[in-house]
Amino acid sequence: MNRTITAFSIGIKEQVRNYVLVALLVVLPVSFITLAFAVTQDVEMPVRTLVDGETVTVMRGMPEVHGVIMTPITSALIAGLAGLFLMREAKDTDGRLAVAGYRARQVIAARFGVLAAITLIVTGVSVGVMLVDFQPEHLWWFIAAMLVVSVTYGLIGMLVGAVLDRLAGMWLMLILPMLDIGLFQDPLFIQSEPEWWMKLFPGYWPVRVMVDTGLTTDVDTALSLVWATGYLLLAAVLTIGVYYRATQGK
Amino acid sequence: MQRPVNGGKRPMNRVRTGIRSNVSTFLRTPLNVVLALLLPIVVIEGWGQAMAGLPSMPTVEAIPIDLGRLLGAIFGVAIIAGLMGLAQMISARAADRRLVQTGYPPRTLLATRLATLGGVTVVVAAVNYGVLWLTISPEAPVLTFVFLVLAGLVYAFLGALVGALLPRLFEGSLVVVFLAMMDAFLSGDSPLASDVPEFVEYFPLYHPKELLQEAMFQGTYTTGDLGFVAGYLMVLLVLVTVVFGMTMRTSGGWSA
Amino acid sequence: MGSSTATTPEGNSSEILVRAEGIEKTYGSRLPFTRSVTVLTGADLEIRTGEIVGIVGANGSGKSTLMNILVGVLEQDGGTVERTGTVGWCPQEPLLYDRLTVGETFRLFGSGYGMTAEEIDEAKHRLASKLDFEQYLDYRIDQLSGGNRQKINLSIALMHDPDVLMLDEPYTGFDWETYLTFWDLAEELAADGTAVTMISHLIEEQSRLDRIYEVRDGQVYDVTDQEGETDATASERGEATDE
Repeated sequence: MNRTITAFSIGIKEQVRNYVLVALLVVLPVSFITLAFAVTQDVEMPVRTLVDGETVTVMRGMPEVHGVIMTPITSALIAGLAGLFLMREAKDTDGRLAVAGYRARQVIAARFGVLAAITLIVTGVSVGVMLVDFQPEHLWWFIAAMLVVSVTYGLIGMLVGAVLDRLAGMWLMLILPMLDIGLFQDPLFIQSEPEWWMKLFPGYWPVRVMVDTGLTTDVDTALSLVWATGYLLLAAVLTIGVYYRATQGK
Repeated sequence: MQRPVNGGKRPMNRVRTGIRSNVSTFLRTPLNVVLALLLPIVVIEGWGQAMAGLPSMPTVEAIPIDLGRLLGAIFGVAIIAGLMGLAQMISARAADRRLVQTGYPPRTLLATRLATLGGVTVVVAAVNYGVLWLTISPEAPVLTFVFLVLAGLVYAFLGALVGALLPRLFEGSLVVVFLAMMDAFLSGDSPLASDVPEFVEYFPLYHPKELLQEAMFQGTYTTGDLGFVAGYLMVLLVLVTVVFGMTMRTSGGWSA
Repeated sequence: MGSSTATTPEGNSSEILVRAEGIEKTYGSRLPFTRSVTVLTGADLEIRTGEIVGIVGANGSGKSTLMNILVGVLEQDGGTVERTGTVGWCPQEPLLYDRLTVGETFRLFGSGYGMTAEEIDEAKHRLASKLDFEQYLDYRIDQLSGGNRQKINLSIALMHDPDVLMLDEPYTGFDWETYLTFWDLAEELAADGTAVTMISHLIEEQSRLDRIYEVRDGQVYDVTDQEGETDATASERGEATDE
């Protein structure tokens, strides 16, 4: 347990001393989300969501819909890239920690801990900035869904990092959230029921919850949050397995 | 110590050698090459399908799915080229400094990097153009291709500048990715951003997008837009050259 | 800021090829909120033709920093460096391009040195034969073992027959045979007039060195006449002075 905490706290210190990174983790979400609200017209648009078990279309202001979409894109992008680079670094160096006596699960726990910390910071900053311009109807449900989608993308980033090199990984971890959350799950774009393959993307369940709890007065998508968490756990299991193999094969 | 007499033969051409090395390095991660060619198709179709659900917009003379494909093409090229520019500058920085120590001039090294980057951008733009050409018939085919290349080059140089400025790939990727996101969703004809303030004009892809839309759907272009893009490229080139020169002379600071 | 100059040699047998005066270096001094680390506070040294010079010192004493400044890849904060002739630098880490083959690596760095294709080929085969990596000429750098990578790292420093060699722990990962070959090579080059400078921490080698500089407390001390002394043998020195 001590070794896990040591590895975790060193991992955190490593990141925190990286002033450029900390600055970026704050500045980028703030600029992006603020700009998003600044350039959005205050008109109403039809939004598809679930109310009392039925799919209906409600009218909501575009800035609000923006809030629901831009915020998770922000944290998914950052968490995904963080996962990518953490895994690449792990591949390069964690074999040595194992030789030094750390057991695999201690190292794994520490790395995932660092990813969790970065995700928390980014989610916190993104939601914080969003709250300046938009208040979701059910804040804590909204935040829960945010966390789920961010952590899921962090894990996907790690999976990608185990398989692809950094350049290809970066391409993928930009394109995936952009297409998934920015386009396929965006109620502004997808005015009717999404295609079946759009539902396979990581953003589908969490963003459904965020649209519902952000824009309507009742929480109708609790089950979606459960599915989203299931997706996350599946990703976690895969990632742990892949991580173990990637760092032990030295 | 005497250097061996070379009988008047010319030393190896640094530019040719440098470009060969860069190209070899890129091609030797074949998965990257494959992805660079396939991802644009995914982005174009994805964007197109996503926008297919929208009603026609009065501001643009195109059906949404075609507009979506065009936007997907622009961003596909920009993302591939931009992140590649970033990676080129960072991944071999220490080895680059050693190469410069041997006498290889920093400007020549930068030129070979940018030339390789430019070459890959042209190929990626060609793939994107090919997909567009299959699904939409551009009104002005040559112009469309040229402007697609320009859009890619803007991001390639931008990525290179970020890579020269920031020492690590993670931080650099965050900046390039966010620029691309802002460009994608905040500037131009997406329905999310209709009331664009003036500063949006300075986003890297704003004018290239205008150029492409006009060339694609109307067969014309506005010289103002073209001038802006050319100026943008020049400024980026100057900045990259200056910053790269500085990073090759290290003072041991955080630009590890 | 310090300055450095480079000129061409004139073949004097004990000519000074590298002269450093008052070298100062502090890391992190320009950034806010960071602790600065002062490494060198006025280091002086000279390197002459035909000498094999060792730079020794405890871990973290600044040996690599000093060498990087002498080579010219790191800017000093104060003091001057004068270099005469060409320099070949072998850094502590193999700073090479992973996806190039050994042959392509020679070609790229050779072009940097301004060598012709024939010269590069000749150097490549000569060094490959001497250091025994001929069978790896078509292998990529990232496909080589650590020791072989270091052979290439060293060869890049030697290939253009420089006047001054700056080697930072050049035999890391070498097997015993290669290590002996390395010393043969160093002695041949020195006999031919090359100034060979190396950072070393192996005590046994010090008898092979013409001159030894120790980096200690930010300064450089010529400890040649106190042969065999390092931090590890300081206690012996204490005993010797009792005699």
